[in-house]
Amino acid sequence: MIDAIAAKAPDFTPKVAMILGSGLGTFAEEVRAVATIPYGELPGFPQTTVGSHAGKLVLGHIGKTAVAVLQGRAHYYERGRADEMKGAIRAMAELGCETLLQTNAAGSLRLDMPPGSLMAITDHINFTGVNPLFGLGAGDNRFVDMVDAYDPALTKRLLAAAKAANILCHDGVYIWFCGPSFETPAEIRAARTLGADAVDMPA
Amino acid sequence: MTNYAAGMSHDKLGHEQTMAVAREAAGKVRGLLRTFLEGYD
Repeated sequence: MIDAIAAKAPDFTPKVAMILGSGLGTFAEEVRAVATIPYGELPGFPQTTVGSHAGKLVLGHIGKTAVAVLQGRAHYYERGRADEMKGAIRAMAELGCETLLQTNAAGSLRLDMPPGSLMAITDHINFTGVNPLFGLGAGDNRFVDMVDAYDPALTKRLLAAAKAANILCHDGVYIWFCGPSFETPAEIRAARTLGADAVDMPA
Repeated sequence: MTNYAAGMSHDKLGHEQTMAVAREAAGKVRGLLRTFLEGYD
C-alpha cells in the first residue's frame, strides 16, 4: 500500500497522521499539499459511506510539520468491522508517522462541557464487545498494553497548545458504543457511573 | 461535544444537529490543531 502512496509523493515522510471526523474535513485545506489521493486508489483504505467524509488522503505541510491528513474514516456501524481502519493506520506508521491525531463528534456526559466544547481523550471504555485486534495471529502483537494508550506527554502538549491559543479544552474518558443509533438514557446513566465523560455520536 | 448525551437535555438527538454543531465548533478545533502542529517538532 505504501508503494501506491510513495509513487504519488516520492521522498515525502509525514510525521503526524490526522483522521478528521465530522465537520472538520475542510481542515485539509490548510495543508500545503504535496499530493491528494482518493482512498479508492489506495488498497486497504476504507470506502466510507458517510456523505460528510471526503475519502481522500492529503499529504503536505502545516507550518513546518509534514502531515498525512485522512479526510474521513470508516465507522464500525457501517459494515460491522472494527478493524476497517487498520490498514490505513498501519500505512501511516510505515510511511514514518510517529503521532496519530483523531477528531470526532461526541456527546457530553458532563454539564460543564456543553455543546461546542472540546475534550482531549485521556482514556477510553470499549463498551462494544468487539476489538480491532480480533483475528490477529500468534505472531502478531495482539496482547497490547493499553496503559497510556493516549500518550500523556502528547496530551499535555495538546492542552498547552489550547491554552496558548486561548481555547478551552477539557480532558476526560470516552466511551464507545456500537451505533448507529444514539444511546438510550439508561445506557448514558450507566456510562456516567462507569466514569465516562463523553460518548460517541454517530455522524 | 456536539450535544449532551441522551436523557441529559430536552433536545432531540439527530444527525443534523450533530453536524450543525460540529461545523460551528470546527473553527476552534482548527485553531487548536494548527497551534499544536506549528509547535510540533
